[in-house]
Amino acid sequence: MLPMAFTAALLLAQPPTGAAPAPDSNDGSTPPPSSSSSPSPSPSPSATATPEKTHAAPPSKAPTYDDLLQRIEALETAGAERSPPPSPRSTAATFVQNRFNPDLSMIADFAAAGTNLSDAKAETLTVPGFIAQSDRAGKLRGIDFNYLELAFAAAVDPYFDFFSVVTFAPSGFDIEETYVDTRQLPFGFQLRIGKFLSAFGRLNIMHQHAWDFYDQPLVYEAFMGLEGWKNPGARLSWTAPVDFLVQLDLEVFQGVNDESPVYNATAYEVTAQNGTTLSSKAPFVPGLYVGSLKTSFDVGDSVFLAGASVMYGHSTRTRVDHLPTDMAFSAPGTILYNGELTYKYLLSSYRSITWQSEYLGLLSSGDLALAVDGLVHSADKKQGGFYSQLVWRFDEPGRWRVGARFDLLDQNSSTVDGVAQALDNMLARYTTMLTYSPTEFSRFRLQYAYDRSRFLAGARKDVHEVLLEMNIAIGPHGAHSF
Amino acid sequence: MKVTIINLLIAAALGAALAPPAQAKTKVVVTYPYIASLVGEIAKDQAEVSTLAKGDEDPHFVVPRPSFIGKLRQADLLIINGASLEIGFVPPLIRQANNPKIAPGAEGFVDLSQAVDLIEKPDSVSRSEGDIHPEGNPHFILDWHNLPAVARAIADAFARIDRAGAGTYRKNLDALLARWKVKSAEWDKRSASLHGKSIIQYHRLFDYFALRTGMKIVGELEPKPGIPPTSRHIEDLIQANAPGSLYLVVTDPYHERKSAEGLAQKMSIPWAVLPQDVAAVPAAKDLVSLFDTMLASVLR
Repeated sequence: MLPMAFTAALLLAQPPTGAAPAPDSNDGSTPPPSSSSSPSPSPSPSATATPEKTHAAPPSKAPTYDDLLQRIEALETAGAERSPPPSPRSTAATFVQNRFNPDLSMIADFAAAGTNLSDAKAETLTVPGFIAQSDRAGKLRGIDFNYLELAFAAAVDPYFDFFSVVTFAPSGFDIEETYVDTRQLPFGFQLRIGKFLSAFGRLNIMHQHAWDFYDQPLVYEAFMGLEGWKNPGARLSWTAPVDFLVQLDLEVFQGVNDESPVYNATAYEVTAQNGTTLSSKAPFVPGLYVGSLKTSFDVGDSVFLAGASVMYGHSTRTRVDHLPTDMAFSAPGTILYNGELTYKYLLSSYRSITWQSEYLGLLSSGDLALAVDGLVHSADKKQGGFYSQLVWRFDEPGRWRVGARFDLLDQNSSTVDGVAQALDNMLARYTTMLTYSPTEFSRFRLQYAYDRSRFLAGARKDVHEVLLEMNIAIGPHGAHSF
Repeated sequence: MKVTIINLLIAAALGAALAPPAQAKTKVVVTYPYIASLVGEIAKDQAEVSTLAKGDEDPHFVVPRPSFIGKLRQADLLIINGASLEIGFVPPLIRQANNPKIAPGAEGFVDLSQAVDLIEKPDSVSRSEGDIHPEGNPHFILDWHNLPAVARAIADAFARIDRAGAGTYRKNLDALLARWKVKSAEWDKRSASLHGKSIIQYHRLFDYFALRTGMKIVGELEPKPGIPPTSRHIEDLIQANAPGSLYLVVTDPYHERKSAEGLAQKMSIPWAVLPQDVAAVPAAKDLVSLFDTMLASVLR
């Protein structure tokens, strides 16, 4: 669920406290530990030899408690005169600070792709009313290098943790996320400040390597974009003090985003064919708000996760595929909402069945400025769709998983001046995958998709895609996502 | 009438909110059942314990159920085994719990591996060697002589966060240690006949147990930690060990049993499933019966 590597920092980067053993005297005279215990340094040589610390001489039978007690007493009486004069230690590393280096992990992703359409044609595919032009990144015929992701994580100071993910892809360099999280807010609050992925929905927060399929669901591609919604902003999250999970996330983002297929808080300017200029005022920023509530509880070996999210902000689009190209659509109060349910049945330590479904809906009404007539029209959009997927982790060491996903965009209503546009509303895709992970650090995935949602030059065009993906991770141990 | 009831409710709510939390139990989250057993011995009814892993679950691959986050959110104390055993599931849970009391480095975070000397500390680490733990072998609890140091670390942690109860915790600890001393002597004696016997295990899980009992581990079914057995590796194990030189093949309750059984059959030696934690098998009800069961399984 969380990006890899950061999590490992928590256990590795922190000095342990309080757990250093007191010398065992077994006579009840153990001193009460002081509350001012600073992170314990490694025990002194004499402490290392406390009776309970065994295994000093592995080849023979391990010494018992009493053996060691005797040995310590002998050493203590003889110790003083035997210790050699201390030799000066090298000062070469006095100012070397590499132990402060952040945790660094690298993730590389490659794929071999085959489709029934040439790349040039595939790029002109549309999903009417939803996607004006299909981005084929990672799905070009032949062998693709998709990305190299670098993740950095470390505590900044006692108050903040830092996390950053940058990616290098054929399309360029991208700062996916860079943020700090507070470490010490009370009452279950945490504040995140920076550029980060929104907590909207189930999948937006996950990086590609944490997905169950090679690509996102159709409804995410349509509303969140291929890269997901990420933007500069702040998030306040709150975890409720209950024995199950209740988590509330409230986010404010700048809202200006060229990559989003829906939201972009910018002004538009359209020069009409009759010479007039149609334009809007710059929207108020920060202009995008998200609220997300998630809950999870267990019933024996069944785990349920449910959630609902709302995104509210300013939508500006300069291209909508079913309308004339020279236009601008601007809707200040655009709402995107979701409802999600995940059910996971745990068969053993390694095997599980997960059924995950999510619905996303869009409500948008605003101005449509057309260059053809130089007029501003009123336009409304009401769209929605869902995916439902089943993933079975089926073998004993847990290396294999097989899954199927059904995508459907089932609501697609668009009106201009109250006149409904003729748009298809049964846009489906069928995907299956088989994944093999030799370890948690390497993964191979075979995926086949039969895509009935795409249109080529105004007519439905069935797309068949076969993908073979390799994903490799090095660096700190990532956490298993739920 | 209505007003009276509402007033009563308000008064009750205020009373509950303002009452001194003197009798409040310490909320403890532990990762494994053996830690819960120790907490039960030391804190008795002063603690409310939640255990994340089940005894028969692979301790390396505990499913991070989101409900654990809610438990960690309310915890005063988080006690883990440490030595990277929980690296795959605890860190994200801590991060999402938004509870500074139990974050690593805080007073309420206890890493028990700090209380014992770990064996098999690798000089260098590389994932080409499989799932190795840079800190050393994390299964230290399977040496019964390591338990007192671990129990003491837990008692210390309780005394730190609940000073008023420090005396009680020490008393309970001393009682446990006294009983443990008797049991340990008994186990030391019982295991004397195991000294020098050679065994093969599934994973590097029983190294501390073998060291304590004097048994010699001559190999693992896993070619490398975390890598499932291959027929070639099992063939190598058979070639490397003379017939009759091996005493037993041991495995854990959560891995497949075919490999252990197959090897044992080929070498005409017995095999056994050993619990690695309390509740890993039904007979291992508590800490004492854990070691009783382990010894009973290998003494034959």
